[in-house]
Amino acid sequence: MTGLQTIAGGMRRWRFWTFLAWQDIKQRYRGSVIGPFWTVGHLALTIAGIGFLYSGLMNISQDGYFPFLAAGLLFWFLISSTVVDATNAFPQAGSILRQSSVPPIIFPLRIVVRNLIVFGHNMFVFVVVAVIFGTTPDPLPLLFTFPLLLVNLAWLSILVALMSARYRDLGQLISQLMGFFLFVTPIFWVPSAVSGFRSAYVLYNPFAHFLEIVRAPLMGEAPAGISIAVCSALAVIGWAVAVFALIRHQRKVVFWI
Amino acid sequence: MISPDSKTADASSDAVVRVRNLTVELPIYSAESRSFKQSLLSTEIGGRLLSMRHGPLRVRALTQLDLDLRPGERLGVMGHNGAGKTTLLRALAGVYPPTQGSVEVDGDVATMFDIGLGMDIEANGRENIFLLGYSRGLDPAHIRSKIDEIATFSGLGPYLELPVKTYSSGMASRLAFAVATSFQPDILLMDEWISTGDQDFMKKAEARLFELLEQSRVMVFASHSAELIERTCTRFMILSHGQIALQGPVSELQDAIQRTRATLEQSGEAAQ
Repeated sequence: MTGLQTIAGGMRRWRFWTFLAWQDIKQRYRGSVIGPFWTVGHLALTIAGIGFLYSGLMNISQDGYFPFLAAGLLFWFLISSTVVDATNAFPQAGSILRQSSVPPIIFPLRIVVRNLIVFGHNMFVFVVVAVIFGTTPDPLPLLFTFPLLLVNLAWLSILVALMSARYRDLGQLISQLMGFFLFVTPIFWVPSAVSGFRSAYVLYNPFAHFLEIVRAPLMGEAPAGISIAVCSALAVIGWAVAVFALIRHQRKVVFWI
Repeated sequence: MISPDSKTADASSDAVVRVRNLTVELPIYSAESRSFKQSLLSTEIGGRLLSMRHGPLRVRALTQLDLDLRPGERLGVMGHNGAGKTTLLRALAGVYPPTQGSVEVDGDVATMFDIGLGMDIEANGRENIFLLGYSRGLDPAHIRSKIDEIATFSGLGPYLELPVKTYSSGMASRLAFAVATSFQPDILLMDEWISTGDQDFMKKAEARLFELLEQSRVMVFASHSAELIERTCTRFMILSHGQIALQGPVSELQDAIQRTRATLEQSGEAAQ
Protein backbone atom coordinates (compact mmCIF):
# COMPACT_ATOMS: atom_id res chain seq x y z
CA MET A 1 0.00 0.00 0.00
CA THR A 2 1.28 3.43 -0.86
CA GLY A 3 1.20 6.23 1.67
CA LEU A 4 -1.69 7.90 -0.11
CA GLN A 5 -3.74 4.69 -0.08
CA THR A 6 -3.13 4.35 3.64
CA ILE A 7 -4.44 7.89 4.20
CA ALA A 8 -7.50 7.32 1.98
CA GLY A 9 -8.14 3.98 3.69
CA GLY A 10 -8.02 5.66 7.09
CA MET A 11 -10.48 8.34 6.01
CA ARG A 12 -12.85 5.72 4.65
CA ARG A 13 -12.88 3.98 8.02
CA TRP A 14 -14.97 6.80 9.46
CA ARG A 15 -16.98 4.31 11.51
CA PHE A 16 -13.80 3.51 13.40
CA TRP A 17 -12.89 7.10 14.24
CA THR A 18 -16.42 8.08 15.13
CA PHE A 19 -16.65 4.96 17.32
CA LEU A 20 -13.45 5.97 19.13
CA ALA A 21 -14.77 9.51 19.56
CA TRP A 22 -18.01 8.26 21.10
CA GLN A 23 -16.04 5.95 23.37
CA ASP A 24 -14.12 9.02 24.58
CA ILE A 25 -17.39 10.80 25.38
CA LYS A 26 -18.83 7.75 27.14
CA GLN A 27 -15.63 7.69 29.15
CA ARG A 28 -16.34 11.23 30.35
CA TYR A 29 -19.83 10.25 31.42
CA ARG A 30 -18.58 7.18 33.31
CA GLY A 31 -18.42 7.74 37.03
CA SER A 32 -19.47 11.34 36.52
CA VAL A 33 -23.00 12.58 36.98
CA ILE A 34 -22.88 15.28 34.33
CA GLY A 35 -19.90 14.18 32.19
CA PRO A 36 -19.21 16.61 29.33
CA PHE A 37 -21.67 19.06 30.84
CA TRP A 38 -18.74 20.17 32.96
CA THR A 39 -17.47 22.06 29.91
CA VAL A 40 -20.97 23.44 29.41
CA GLY A 41 -20.87 24.80 32.94
CA HIS A 42 -17.37 26.16 32.36
CA LEU A 43 -18.56 27.92 29.22
CA ALA A 44 -21.65 29.35 30.88
CA LEU A 45 -19.66 30.64 33.83
CA THR A 46 -17.03 32.24 31.58
CA ILE A 47 -19.68 33.98 29.51
CA ALA A 48 -21.51 35.29 32.56
CA GLY A 49 -18.35 36.39 34.35
CA ILE A 50 -16.61 38.02 31.40
CA GLY A 51 -19.82 39.37 29.84
CA PHE A 52 -20.81 41.70 32.64
CA LEU A 53 -17.25 42.86 33.26
CA TYR A 54 -15.99 43.47 29.71
CA SER A 55 -19.19 45.01 28.33
CA GLY A 56 -18.69 47.67 31.03
CA LEU A 57 -14.93 47.98 30.46
CA MET A 58 -15.35 48.44 26.73
CA ASN A 59 -18.52 50.41 27.05
CA ILE A 60 -20.60 48.24 24.70
CA SER A 61 -24.22 47.26 25.11
CA GLN A 62 -24.78 43.93 26.81
CA ASP A 63 -27.39 42.97 24.21
CA GLY A 64 -24.76 42.88 21.51
CA TYR A 65 -21.79 41.79 23.58
CA PHE A 66 -23.22 38.67 25.23
CA PRO A 67 -24.20 36.84 22.01
CA PHE A 68 -20.86 37.87 20.47
CA LEU A 69 -18.96 36.50 23.45
CA ALA A 70 -21.06 33.33 23.65
CA ALA A 71 -20.65 32.54 19.94
CA GLY A 72 -16.92 33.32 20.05
CA LEU A 73 -16.23 31.18 23.10
CA LEU A 74 -18.41 28.36 21.77
CA PHE A 75 -16.26 28.04 18.66
CA TRP A 76 -13.04 28.84 20.49
CA PHE A 77 -13.62 25.90 22.85
CA LEU A 78 -14.03 23.70 19.77
CA ILE A 79 -10.87 24.99 18.06
CA SER A 80 -8.62 25.15 21.07
CA SER A 81 -9.60 21.85 22.67
CA THR A 82 -9.18 20.10 19.31
CA VAL A 83 -5.64 21.46 19.03
CA VAL A 84 -4.79 20.67 22.66
CA ASP A 85 -6.26 17.14 22.47
CA ALA A 86 -4.41 16.52 19.20
CA THR A 87 -1.07 16.84 21.01
CA ASN A 88 -1.92 13.52 22.68
CA ALA A 89 -3.65 11.81 19.74
CA PHE A 90 -0.95 9.21 19.02
CA PRO A 91 0.31 8.43 22.53
CA GLN A 92 -3.32 7.85 23.52
CA ALA A 93 -3.67 5.34 20.67
CA GLY A 94 -0.42 3.53 21.51
CA SER A 95 -2.02 0.24 22.39
CA ILE A 96 -3.87 0.10 19.07
CA LEU A 97 -0.93 1.26 16.97
CA ARG A 98 1.39 -1.34 18.47
CA GLN A 99 -1.08 -4.16 17.97
CA SER A 100 -2.22 -3.78 14.39
CA SER A 101 -1.53 -1.94 11.19
CA VAL A 102 -3.97 0.94 11.42
CA PRO A 103 -3.75 4.12 9.30
CA PRO A 104 -2.54 6.77 11.79
CA ILE A 105 -4.79 9.50 10.31
CA ILE A 106 -7.67 7.80 12.16
CA PHE A 107 -6.52 9.20 15.50
CA PRO A 108 -6.33 12.95 14.73
CA LEU A 109 -9.72 12.63 13.01
CA ARG A 110 -11.10 10.99 16.13
CA ILE A 111 -10.00 14.08 18.06
CA VAL A 112 -12.00 16.34 15.74
CA VAL A 113 -15.13 14.21 16.08
CA ARG A 114 -14.76 13.97 19.85
CA ASN A 115 -14.65 17.74 20.15
CA LEU A 116 -17.52 18.10 17.71
CA ILE A 117 -19.65 16.03 20.10
CA VAL A 118 -18.62 18.24 23.03
CA PHE A 119 -19.45 21.23 20.83
CA GLY A 120 -22.95 19.79 20.47
CA HIS A 121 -23.30 19.97 24.26
CA ASN A 122 -21.97 23.52 24.37
CA MET A 123 -24.45 24.72 21.73
CA PHE A 124 -27.01 24.66 24.50
CA VAL A 125 -25.34 27.66 26.20
CA PHE A 126 -25.40 29.73 23.03
CA VAL A 127 -29.08 28.95 22.45
CA VAL A 128 -29.91 30.17 25.96
CA VAL A 129 -27.87 33.39 25.49
CA ALA A 130 -29.42 34.01 22.05
CA VAL A 131 -32.91 33.63 23.48
CA ILE A 132 -32.21 35.93 26.44
CA PHE A 133 -30.67 38.69 24.32
CA GLY A 134 -32.92 38.24 21.31
CA THR A 135 -30.33 37.38 18.67
CA THR A 136 -31.52 35.86 15.42
CA PRO A 137 -28.82 33.73 13.79
CA ASP A 138 -28.62 33.34 10.03
CA PRO A 139 -27.86 29.62 9.74
CA LEU A 140 -27.64 29.39 5.95
CA PRO A 141 -23.95 30.40 5.52
CA LEU A 142 -23.06 27.92 8.27
CA LEU A 143 -23.92 25.08 5.92
CA PHE A 144 -20.73 26.02 4.09
CA THR A 145 -18.62 27.75 6.72
CA PHE A 146 -18.97 25.20 9.53
CA PRO A 147 -17.75 22.29 7.38
CA LEU A 148 -14.97 24.61 6.20
CA LEU A 149 -13.94 25.15 9.81
CA LEU A 150 -13.97 21.37 10.45
CA VAL A 151 -11.85 20.72 7.37
CA ASN A 152 -9.32 23.22 8.74
CA LEU A 153 -9.44 21.65 12.19
CA ALA A 154 -8.74 18.24 10.64
CA TRP A 155 -5.43 19.22 9.01
CA LEU A 156 -4.47 21.18 12.09
CA SER A 157 -5.16 18.14 14.23
CA ILE A 158 -3.09 15.89 11.95
CA LEU A 159 -0.07 18.20 11.96
CA VAL A 160 -0.23 18.91 15.68
CA ALA A 161 -0.57 15.18 16.40
CA LEU A 162 2.46 14.29 14.26
CA MET A 163 4.68 17.06 15.61
CA SER A 164 3.76 16.48 19.23
CA ALA A 165 4.33 12.74 18.97
CA ARG A 166 7.78 13.29 17.52
CA TYR A 167 8.78 16.14 19.82
CA ARG A 168 7.23 15.83 23.24
CA ASP A 169 8.03 19.40 24.30
CA LEU A 170 6.19 20.74 21.29
CA GLY A 171 2.93 19.37 22.66
CA GLN A 172 3.40 21.43 25.81
CA LEU A 173 4.32 24.49 23.77
CA ILE A 174 1.26 24.17 21.54
CA SER A 175 -1.07 23.80 24.52
CA GLN A 176 0.34 26.99 26.00
CA LEU A 177 0.14 28.81 22.67
CA MET A 178 -3.60 28.19 22.62
CA GLY A 179 -3.86 30.01 25.94
CA PHE A 180 -2.00 32.91 24.33
CA PHE A 181 -4.27 32.96 21.29
CA LEU A 182 -7.35 33.12 23.52
CA PHE A 183 -6.31 36.68 24.37
CA VAL A 184 -4.93 37.94 21.04
CA THR A 185 -7.87 36.61 19.02
CA PRO A 186 -11.08 38.68 18.95
CA ILE A 187 -13.13 36.62 21.39
CA PHE A 188 -13.38 38.92 24.42
CA TRP A 189 -12.86 42.06 22.35
CA VAL A 190 -14.62 43.02 19.16
CA PRO A 191 -12.53 43.17 15.95
CA SER A 192 -13.88 46.63 15.08
CA ALA A 193 -12.29 48.02 18.27
CA VAL A 194 -8.76 47.67 16.88
CA SER A 195 -7.17 49.98 14.34
CA GLY A 196 -3.75 50.86 13.01
CA PHE A 197 -1.00 48.31 13.62
CA ARG A 198 -3.27 46.45 16.02
CA SER A 199 -5.48 45.35 13.14
CA ALA A 200 -2.71 42.81 12.45
CA TYR A 201 -4.13 40.87 15.40
CA VAL A 202 -7.22 40.26 13.32
CA LEU A 203 -5.78 40.23 9.81
CA TYR A 204 -2.80 37.91 10.28
CA ASN A 205 -4.29 35.63 12.89
CA PRO A 206 -5.71 32.47 11.31
CA PHE A 207 -7.81 31.81 14.39
CA ALA A 208 -9.53 35.19 13.94
CA HIS A 209 -10.57 34.10 10.45
CA PHE A 210 -11.67 30.66 11.66
CA LEU A 211 -13.89 32.37 14.20
CA GLU A 212 -15.25 35.03 11.87
CA ILE A 213 -16.70 32.60 9.31
CA VAL A 214 -18.78 30.76 11.90
CA ARG A 215 -19.46 33.46 14.48
CA ALA A 216 -20.87 36.06 12.08
CA PRO A 217 -23.75 33.82 10.90
CA LEU A 218 -24.65 33.06 14.52
CA MET A 219 -24.87 36.82 15.10
CA GLY A 220 -27.13 37.12 12.06
CA GLU A 221 -24.40 38.76 9.96
CA ALA A 222 -22.67 37.77 6.75
CA PRO A 223 -19.12 36.47 7.29
CA ALA A 224 -16.36 38.67 5.88
CA GLY A 225 -15.34 37.66 2.37
CA ILE A 226 -11.65 37.91 3.23
CA SER A 227 -12.09 35.42 6.08
CA ILE A 228 -13.83 32.90 3.85
CA ALA A 229 -11.04 33.32 1.32
CA VAL A 230 -8.33 32.89 3.96
CA CYS A 231 -10.01 29.82 5.45
CA SER A 232 -10.49 28.24 2.03
CA ALA A 233 -6.85 28.85 1.14
CA LEU A 234 -5.69 27.52 4.50
CA ALA A 235 -7.81 24.39 4.03
CA VAL A 236 -6.10 23.62 0.72
CA ILE A 237 -2.58 24.46 1.89
CA GLY A 238 -3.04 22.82 5.28
CA TRP A 239 -4.32 19.57 3.83
CA ALA A 240 -1.51 19.51 1.27
CA VAL A 241 1.06 19.84 4.04
CA ALA A 242 -0.77 17.33 6.28
CA VAL A 243 -0.96 14.71 3.52
CA PHE A 244 2.69 15.28 2.67
CA ALA A 245 3.68 14.93 6.33
CA LEU A 246 1.61 11.77 6.72
CA ILE A 247 3.10 10.17 3.62
CA ARG A 248 6.58 10.87 4.92
CA HIS A 249 6.08 10.00 8.56
CA GLN A 250 2.99 7.86 9.18
CA ARG A 251 4.88 4.57 9.28
CA LYS A 252 7.26 5.96 11.88
CA VAL A 253 4.53 7.03 14.29
CA VAL A 254 4.65 3.65 16.04
CA PHE A 255 8.29 4.34 16.98
CA TRP A 256 7.46 7.74 18.43
CA ILE A 257 4.90 6.68 20.98
CA MET B 1 -4.77 -33.48 7.84
CA ILE B 2 -1.17 -32.40 8.17
CA SER B 3 0.09 -30.39 5.28
CA PRO B 4 3.50 -31.24 3.86
CA ASP B 5 6.29 -29.43 5.61
CA SER B 6 8.41 -27.17 3.54
CA LYS B 7 11.78 -25.99 4.63
CA THR B 8 12.89 -24.14 1.57
CA ALA B 9 11.36 -21.34 -0.40
CA ASP B 10 11.04 -23.15 -3.72
CA ALA B 11 7.64 -22.39 -5.28
CA SER B 12 6.62 -19.23 -3.46
CA SER B 13 3.69 -18.38 -5.71
CA ASP B 14 1.14 -20.10 -3.49
CA ALA B 15 2.58 -18.62 -0.28
CA VAL B 16 0.26 -16.45 1.79
CA VAL B 17 3.16 -14.80 3.58
CA ARG B 18 6.26 -13.82 1.63
CA VAL B 19 9.15 -12.22 3.42
CA ARG B 20 12.24 -11.36 1.43
CA ASN B 21 15.54 -10.17 2.78
CA LEU B 22 13.78 -8.47 5.68
CA THR B 23 15.82 -6.18 7.88
CA VAL B 24 14.07 -4.21 10.60
CA GLU B 25 15.82 -1.48 12.53
CA LEU B 26 14.06 0.07 15.47
CA PRO B 27 14.91 3.71 16.12
CA ILE B 28 15.12 4.47 19.81
CA TYR B 29 14.08 8.02 20.49
CA SER B 30 15.78 8.77 23.76
CA ALA B 31 14.57 11.55 25.99
CA GLU B 32 17.20 13.88 24.58
CA SER B 33 16.64 13.31 20.89
CA ARG B 34 12.88 13.41 21.30
CA SER B 35 12.80 16.81 22.89
CA PHE B 36 12.24 19.65 20.48
CA LYS B 37 14.24 22.01 22.66
CA GLN B 38 17.24 19.73 22.50
CA SER B 39 17.24 19.53 18.73
CA LEU B 40 16.70 23.25 18.49
CA LEU B 41 19.61 23.88 20.84
CA SER B 42 21.89 21.36 19.22
CA THR B 43 21.28 22.78 15.75
CA GLU B 44 22.01 26.22 17.03
CA ILE B 45 25.09 25.34 18.99
CA GLY B 46 26.50 22.47 17.01
CA GLY B 47 25.40 23.83 13.66
CA ARG B 48 25.20 20.29 12.31
CA LEU B 49 22.35 18.52 10.71
CA LEU B 50 20.46 16.45 13.21
CA SER B 51 20.16 13.50 10.93
CA MET B 52 23.92 13.28 10.59
CA ARG B 53 24.95 13.44 14.16
CA HIS B 54 22.01 13.36 16.46
CA GLY B 55 19.82 10.87 14.67
CA PRO B 56 18.10 8.32 16.86
CA LEU B 57 19.98 5.31 18.06
CA ARG B 58 19.04 2.36 15.90
CA VAL B 59 18.75 -1.21 17.02
CA ARG B 60 18.84 -3.87 14.34
CA ALA B 61 16.21 -6.35 15.43
CA LEU B 62 15.99 -8.53 12.31
CA THR B 63 18.65 -9.10 9.67
CA GLN B 64 18.03 -10.32 6.14
CA LEU B 65 15.30 -12.77 6.96
CA ASP B 66 13.45 -14.84 4.35
CA LEU B 67 10.22 -16.66 5.03
CA ASP B 68 7.42 -18.27 3.04
CA LEU B 69 4.25 -19.58 4.60
CA ARG B 70 1.70 -21.57 2.61
CA PRO B 71 -1.93 -22.21 3.50
CA GLY B 72 -2.24 -24.56 6.46
CA GLU B 73 1.24 -23.94 7.78
CA ARG B 74 1.77 -23.10 11.42
CA LEU B 75 5.13 -21.67 12.30
CA GLY B 76 6.45 -21.74 15.85
CA VAL B 77 9.12 -19.12 16.50
CA MET B 78 11.56 -19.70 19.33
CA GLY B 79 14.54 -17.75 20.60
CA HIS B 80 15.86 -15.90 23.59
CA ASN B 81 14.39 -12.65 24.78
CA GLY B 82 15.48 -10.01 22.32
CA ALA B 83 16.15 -12.54 19.55
CA GLY B 84 13.60 -10.79 17.34
CA LYS B 85 10.46 -12.90 17.80
CA THR B 86 8.14 -10.02 18.59
CA THR B 87 9.72 -7.80 15.95
CA LEU B 88 9.09 -10.51 13.37
CA LEU B 89 5.44 -10.75 14.41
CA ARG B 90 5.02 -6.98 14.33
CA ALA B 91 6.68 -6.76 10.92
CA LEU B 92 4.31 -9.46 9.63
CA ALA B 93 1.37 -7.51 11.10
CA GLY B 94 2.50 -4.37 9.28
CA VAL B 95 3.11 -2.52 12.53
CA TYR B 96 6.85 -2.14 11.92
CA PRO B 97 7.88 -1.04 8.44
CA PRO B 98 10.79 -2.95 6.86
CA THR B 99 14.05 -1.02 6.88
CA GLN B 100 15.13 -3.17 3.93
CA GLY B 101 13.49 -5.99 2.05
CA SER B 102 9.79 -6.68 1.81
CA VAL B 103 6.89 -8.26 3.63
CA GLU B 104 3.90 -9.39 1.60
CA VAL B 105 0.88 -10.78 3.37
CA ASP B 106 -2.27 -11.80 1.50
CA GLY B 107 -5.39 -11.61 3.59
CA ASP B 108 -6.83 -10.52 6.88
CA VAL B 109 -4.39 -10.50 9.79
CA ALA B 110 -5.39 -11.02 13.41
CA THR B 111 -2.85 -10.34 16.13
CA MET B 112 -2.59 -11.28 19.77
CA PHE B 113 0.56 -9.75 21.15
CA ASP B 114 0.36 -8.63 24.75
CA ILE B 115 -2.70 -9.11 26.89
CA GLY B 116 -4.75 -5.98 26.82
CA LEU B 117 -2.87 -4.48 23.92
CA GLY B 118 -5.40 -3.01 21.57
CA MET B 119 -8.05 -2.99 24.29
CA ASP B 120 -9.44 -0.12 26.31
CA ILE B 121 -9.63 -1.35 29.88
CA GLU B 122 -12.14 1.32 30.88
CA ALA B 123 -14.58 0.16 28.23
CA ASN B 124 -16.67 -2.97 28.67
CA GLY B 125 -16.15 -6.31 26.93
CA ARG B 126 -18.72 -5.64 24.23
CA GLU B 127 -17.18 -2.27 23.36
CA ASN B 128 -13.77 -3.90 23.20
CA ILE B 129 -15.07 -6.46 20.72
CA PHE B 130 -15.98 -3.51 18.50
CA LEU B 131 -12.67 -1.80 19.17
CA LEU B 132 -10.67 -4.89 18.20
CA GLY B 133 -12.94 -5.54 15.22
CA TYR B 134 -12.62 -1.99 13.91
CA SER B 135 -8.84 -2.14 14.38
CA ARG B 136 -8.89 -5.07 11.98
CA GLY B 137 -10.93 -3.11 9.48
CA LEU B 138 -14.18 -5.06 9.95
CA ASP B 139 -17.56 -3.42 9.49
CA PRO B 140 -20.00 -3.05 12.39
CA ALA B 141 -22.60 -5.47 11.03
CA HIS B 142 -19.97 -8.21 10.79
CA ILE B 143 -18.76 -7.47 14.32
CA ARG B 144 -22.30 -7.45 15.73
CA SER B 145 -23.09 -10.81 14.13
CA LYS B 146 -20.29 -12.48 16.10
CA ILE B 147 -20.91 -11.04 19.55
CA ASP B 148 -23.04 -13.94 20.78
CA GLU B 149 -20.54 -16.46 19.51
CA ILE B 150 -17.70 -14.59 21.24
CA ALA B 151 -19.69 -14.39 24.47
CA THR B 152 -20.25 -18.14 24.41
CA PHE B 153 -16.79 -19.20 23.31
CA SER B 154 -14.97 -16.96 25.75
CA GLY B 155 -17.35 -18.07 28.50
CA LEU B 156 -17.69 -14.41 29.49
CA GLY B 157 -21.43 -14.17 28.84
CA PRO B 158 -22.90 -11.39 31.01
CA TYR B 159 -19.39 -10.23 31.99
CA LEU B 160 -19.17 -8.60 28.55
CA GLU B 161 -21.17 -5.73 30.05
CA LEU B 162 -18.47 -5.06 32.66
CA PRO B 163 -15.37 -2.92 32.12
CA VAL B 164 -12.35 -4.95 31.04
CA LYS B 165 -10.36 -3.50 33.95
CA THR B 166 -12.45 -5.69 36.26
CA TYR B 167 -11.43 -8.86 34.35
CA SER B 168 -8.75 -11.26 35.49
CA SER B 169 -5.85 -11.63 33.03
CA GLY B 170 -7.27 -15.02 32.04
CA MET B 171 -10.65 -13.47 31.20
CA ALA B 172 -9.01 -10.72 29.18
CA SER B 173 -6.94 -13.18 27.20
CA ARG B 174 -9.97 -15.36 26.57
CA LEU B 175 -11.77 -12.33 25.15
CA ALA B 176 -8.81 -11.40 22.94
CA PHE B 177 -8.47 -14.97 21.70
CA ALA B 178 -12.19 -15.31 21.01
CA VAL B 179 -12.20 -12.04 19.04
CA ALA B 180 -9.04 -12.87 17.12
CA THR B 181 -10.32 -16.26 16.01
CA SER B 182 -14.07 -15.62 15.62
CA PHE B 183 -13.61 -13.37 12.63
CA GLN B 184 -11.74 -16.12 10.79
CA PRO B 185 -8.44 -14.44 10.03
CA ASP B 186 -6.35 -15.61 7.11
CA ILE B 187 -3.22 -15.09 9.17
CA LEU B 188 -3.09 -15.39 12.94
CA LEU B 189 -0.10 -13.92 14.77
CA MET B 190 0.32 -14.80 18.43
CA ASP B 191 2.89 -13.88 21.00
CA GLU B 192 3.25 -16.42 23.79
CA TRP B 193 0.41 -15.69 26.13
CA ILE B 194 -2.11 -18.20 24.77
CA SER B 195 -0.92 -20.29 27.71
CA THR B 196 -2.43 -17.91 30.26
CA GLY B 197 -5.96 -19.31 30.05
CA ASP B 198 -7.03 -22.17 32.32
CA GLN B 199 -6.78 -25.84 31.26
CA ASP B 200 -10.33 -26.13 29.96
CA PHE B 201 -10.01 -22.99 27.91
CA MET B 202 -6.61 -24.09 26.56
CA LYS B 203 -8.24 -27.25 25.18
CA LYS B 204 -11.03 -25.23 23.58
CA ALA B 205 -8.50 -22.77 22.18
CA GLU B 206 -6.37 -25.50 20.66
CA ALA B 207 -9.42 -27.18 19.15
CA ARG B 208 -10.42 -23.90 17.59
CA LEU B 209 -6.94 -23.24 16.23
CA PHE B 210 -6.93 -26.59 14.46
CA GLU B 211 -10.40 -25.90 13.14
CA LEU B 212 -9.19 -22.58 11.73
CA LEU B 213 -6.14 -24.14 10.21
CA GLU B 214 -8.16 -26.81 8.48
CA GLN B 215 -9.59 -23.98 6.45
CA SER B 216 -6.10 -23.38 5.06
CA ARG B 217 -5.12 -20.56 7.33
CA VAL B 218 -1.68 -19.58 8.49
CA MET B 219 -0.44 -19.08 12.00
CA VAL B 220 2.78 -17.70 13.40
CA PHE B 221 3.25 -18.37 17.07
CA ALA B 222 6.15 -17.09 19.16
CA SER B 223 6.80 -19.10 22.29
CA HIS B 224 9.43 -20.32 24.70
CA SER B 225 7.61 -23.63 25.04
CA ALA B 226 8.95 -26.29 22.68
CA GLU B 227 6.23 -28.62 23.88
CA LEU B 228 3.48 -26.17 22.87
CA ILE B 229 5.09 -25.58 19.49
CA GLU B 230 5.41 -29.29 18.83
CA ARG B 231 1.75 -29.76 19.63
CA THR B 232 0.34 -26.85 17.63
CA CYS B 233 2.76 -26.10 14.80
CA THR B 234 4.00 -27.73 11.63
CA ARG B 235 7.26 -25.83 11.33
CA PHE B 236 9.66 -24.21 13.71
CA MET B 237 12.18 -21.41 13.47
CA ILE B 238 14.81 -20.55 16.04
CA LEU B 239 15.88 -16.92 15.95
CA SER B 240 19.16 -15.73 17.33
CA HIS B 241 20.27 -12.10 17.22
CA GLY B 242 17.66 -11.31 14.60
CA GLN B 243 18.68 -14.09 12.25
CA ILE B 244 17.37 -17.56 11.57
CA ALA B 245 19.61 -19.95 13.50
CA LEU B 246 17.70 -23.09 12.62
CA GLN B 247 14.42 -24.01 10.98
CA GLY B 248 12.60 -27.11 9.84
CA PRO B 249 9.58 -29.34 10.42
CA VAL B 250 8.56 -29.72 14.08
CA SER B 251 9.63 -33.37 13.99
CA GLU B 252 13.19 -32.06 14.02
CA LEU B 253 12.61 -29.54 16.79
CA GLN B 254 13.87 -31.63 19.72
CA ASP B 255 17.00 -32.40 17.78
CA ALA B 256 17.48 -28.74 16.98
CA ILE B 257 17.02 -27.71 20.58
CA GLN B 258 19.66 -30.22 21.71
CA ARG B 259 22.05 -28.84 19.15
CA THR B 260 21.31 -25.23 20.12
CA ARG B 261 21.88 -26.06 23.76
CA ALA B 262 25.15 -27.71 22.90
CA THR B 263 26.22 -24.70 20.90
CA LEU B 264 25.23 -22.39 23.72
CA GLU B 265 27.13 -24.43 26.26
CA GLN B 266 30.19 -24.39 24.05
CA SER B 267 29.99 -20.65 23.54
CA GLY B 268 29.40 -20.29 27.28
CA GLU B 269 32.58 -22.23 27.97
CA ALA B 270 34.40 -20.24 25.36
CA ALA B 271 33.31 -17.06 27.07
CA GLN B 272 34.75 -18.31 30.33
